[in-house]
Amino acid sequence: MTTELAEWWSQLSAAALIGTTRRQVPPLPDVMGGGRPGAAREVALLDAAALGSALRRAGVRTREPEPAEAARDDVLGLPAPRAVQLLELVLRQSPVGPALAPELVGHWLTAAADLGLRAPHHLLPELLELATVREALRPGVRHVLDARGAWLAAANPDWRWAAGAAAAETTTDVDPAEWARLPTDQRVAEVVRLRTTDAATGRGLVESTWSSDSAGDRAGLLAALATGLGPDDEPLLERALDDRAQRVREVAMPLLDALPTSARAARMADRLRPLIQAKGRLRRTLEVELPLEPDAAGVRDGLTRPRRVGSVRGWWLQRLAAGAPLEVWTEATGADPATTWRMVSQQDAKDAKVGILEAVLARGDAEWAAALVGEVWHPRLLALLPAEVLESTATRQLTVAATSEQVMAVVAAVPAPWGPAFSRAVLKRLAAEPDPMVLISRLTTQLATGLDPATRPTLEKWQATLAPGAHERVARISQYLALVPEIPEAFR
Amino acid sequence: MPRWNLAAVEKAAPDASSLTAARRLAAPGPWSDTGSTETLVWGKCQGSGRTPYQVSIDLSGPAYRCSCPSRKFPCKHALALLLLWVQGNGSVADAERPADFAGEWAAQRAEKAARPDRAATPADPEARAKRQAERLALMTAGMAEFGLWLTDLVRGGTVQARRQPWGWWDTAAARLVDAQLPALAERVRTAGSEVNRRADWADHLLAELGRWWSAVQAWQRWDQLDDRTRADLRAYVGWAQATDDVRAGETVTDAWLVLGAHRSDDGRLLQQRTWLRGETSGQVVCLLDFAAGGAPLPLSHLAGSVLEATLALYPGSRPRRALVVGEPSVRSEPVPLPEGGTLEDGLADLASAWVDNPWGSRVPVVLSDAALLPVDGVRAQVVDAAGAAASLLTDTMPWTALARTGGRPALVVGELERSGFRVLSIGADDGLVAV
Repeated sequence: MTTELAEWWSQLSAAALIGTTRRQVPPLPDVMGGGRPGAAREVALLDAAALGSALRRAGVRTREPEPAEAARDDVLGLPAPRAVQLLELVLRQSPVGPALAPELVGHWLTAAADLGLRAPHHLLPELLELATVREALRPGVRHVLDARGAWLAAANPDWRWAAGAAAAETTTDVDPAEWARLPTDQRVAEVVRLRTTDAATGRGLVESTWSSDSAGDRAGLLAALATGLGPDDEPLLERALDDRAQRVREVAMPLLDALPTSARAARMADRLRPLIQAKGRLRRTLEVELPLEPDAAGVRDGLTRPRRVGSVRGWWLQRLAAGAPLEVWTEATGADPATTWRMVSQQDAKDAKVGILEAVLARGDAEWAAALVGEVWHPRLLALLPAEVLESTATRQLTVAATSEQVMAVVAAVPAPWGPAFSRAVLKRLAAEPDPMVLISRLTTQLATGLDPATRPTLEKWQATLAPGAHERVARISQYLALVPEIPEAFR
Repeated sequence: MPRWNLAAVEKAAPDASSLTAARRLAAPGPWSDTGSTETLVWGKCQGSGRTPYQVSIDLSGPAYRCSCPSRKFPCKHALALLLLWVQGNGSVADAERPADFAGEWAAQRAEKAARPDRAATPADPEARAKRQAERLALMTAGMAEFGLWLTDLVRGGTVQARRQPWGWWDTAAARLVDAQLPALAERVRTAGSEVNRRADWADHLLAELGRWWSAVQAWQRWDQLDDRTRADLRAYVGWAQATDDVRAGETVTDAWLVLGAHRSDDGRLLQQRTWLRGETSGQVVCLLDFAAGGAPLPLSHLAGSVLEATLALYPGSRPRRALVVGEPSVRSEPVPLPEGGTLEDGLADLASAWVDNPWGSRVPVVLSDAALLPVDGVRAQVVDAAGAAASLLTDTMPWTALARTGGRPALVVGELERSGFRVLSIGADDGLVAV
């Protein structure tokens, strides 16, 4: 459009904005003729708009390209056609259903990365989309992006995570001053992220603003130390015990419970030791006394008034048991954890038992977990067992699991893939359920990734006996087990 | 016949839930008596009933038949069978002869296609003329009222119009609907939401007011308009042409290359535009399909395939709207890519289309050696062989096209509008591919 016309159009626009009641309509440029003589203002404006919009449309021109780069050449090779087809199948019409498809994609990505191959171009958008939702797939997807994928990812804000495919995501360079300006929830998230790889830097951030943060922020940030917690965190936690805000102190205590080598654990041990004593000639009995009113140091360590109803002294015993090293118990009995637990159990020392369980869970103590697992039901105990006894113990647990929740907890505690014995036990337990639908649907991923492929015949036999919904889900699991070995084959 | 791929089957699905249901069925388990020939795919699917459903698909249509009671079209069984077939792993084996149920159906279809169309019952011409005159009077009154509404609007100014609640626009639109001017009504509703959504709302609204006003003015001269402009105006205000009239009008028989298709969904109405180019005539036409109220769109023809068909052309200016007369057959041999031009050619074509039809919106454009390039993370542009650029319309970011081309020159088919370019398909090694 020429400047003259552009000028006219902007005058016309101004008149249209304000309305013809209050504005004159600019006369039509000469090239457009005189217009209708004697037309009312509003008619003249609409006539002009009709002419002008047609003129403007017809005047559209191409423009200079904005600077933009084409993708560089890929360096990795393309997988065999069969492998490409298989990925297309899994992404677009997964025979294993939407829940398991990402697992299969994961296998595909691993196979491709092992051979140093890239994803086919036309499936890049779908892979990026999937891994945007399923973060676990991101490292695998990064491996197969190559130049084309990285270029594509850079064009979509949702895919930024993949854009610098070569750059490691776990950068530990955080500017404390910048971090300090973030909103609290983002500061917490950043600390949690850092703690997985560099606990000291994460703690350093928390310390850097400690004296100026509000009580709420201190509590939130301190809680973030639960990720990657270690003995080096003790000084800050110890300092938090003296915090003027109760909520901060209450965050510090359970974290210190998880550190049995801390000074606070030693103090708790000093308080606990006089209360427990092995009795009898063979030291077969353990007497457990309740603690008396704590002194100021005891209150500081967490022996406060309980919020629950019940015995106050029982509560203190529980806190002592949760905070002291577990060795206090084995030293008192001179026996192993299993025997010690039985001795404690014979006493009416419920609070002590709760405290011990807390300590075992907080510290992830495998030996004690093995001692307790047959005696106490707790969904997290099983996962603490050493790998070599985990499956056999879990197999036993399955036979005694009373509710679906318990079965689910047991199955979820055993990392995939499972050995043949546990696989068979799981199937046997599920087959015994009168209505296995809920269990099947909630455990679909665990079953598919966990079950030993050799159990497929058993799985299919069971599948035949099931109602339609459950039948379908089990069919998908079986299909999954069949497809997993096919994926590396397809790359040949 | 070009072998279907997964994307083609997905496009054929009437909606997402059908596809999901079909995926579940696309395993060999429930299927028996499956097979395929060059043009037919068939199989029996065990459903909840005792007798399995018989599914037949004529790939040349494509056309579907299934003995299930589903009102979806194609149903999940047909989709599942296609999914199974495109896997190409032998679950649906090639066969010499179709199964009886599929063969019989195909024969019936062939017979029907060979028969001339049902004789159109000659409507009473007098009654029809009377109805037409009544409708015209109603529309004329509606147009006049709309003209008054427009003058009121510009008297008060567009700033004031922008402050109006949604109901103000909706009321004006409802009056247009009552006056049987539905497409114009839709434009008013859209403008009512655009004024609050667009940064350039003032400019956009003024241009839109100009187009509405030109329709009002043209309507006043209805008797002096030529047939073509009348047809353009009819299309703009939403006065549909009866398909029987269209069939009885101008027809062109040719081999039509499917250039590409665009589907849009504004929440109320699903729309599908399919662009076809005649091999002999070189003419480019548009098939338009609509579906509302949750009904599925008919499936789109595969980009890159060639339909040998007779098309009836709607009256009006280029690019003409068309409908398919009878059953098209799909040509089996592979097709070379169409010739392309530059953006400048496309704009010239767009400008000349506007000379004929001021209410037109877009022309289809084939660009040779054009690069699709992302710009700054949210936008993208197309740069043609001459180094000229246009923005891509942001309603559909063509991720697949970007991934396939990587910013390298390729044949690109799309729609050119005033505000930019929309990619529909690209040239690949094996012909056009929808993106």
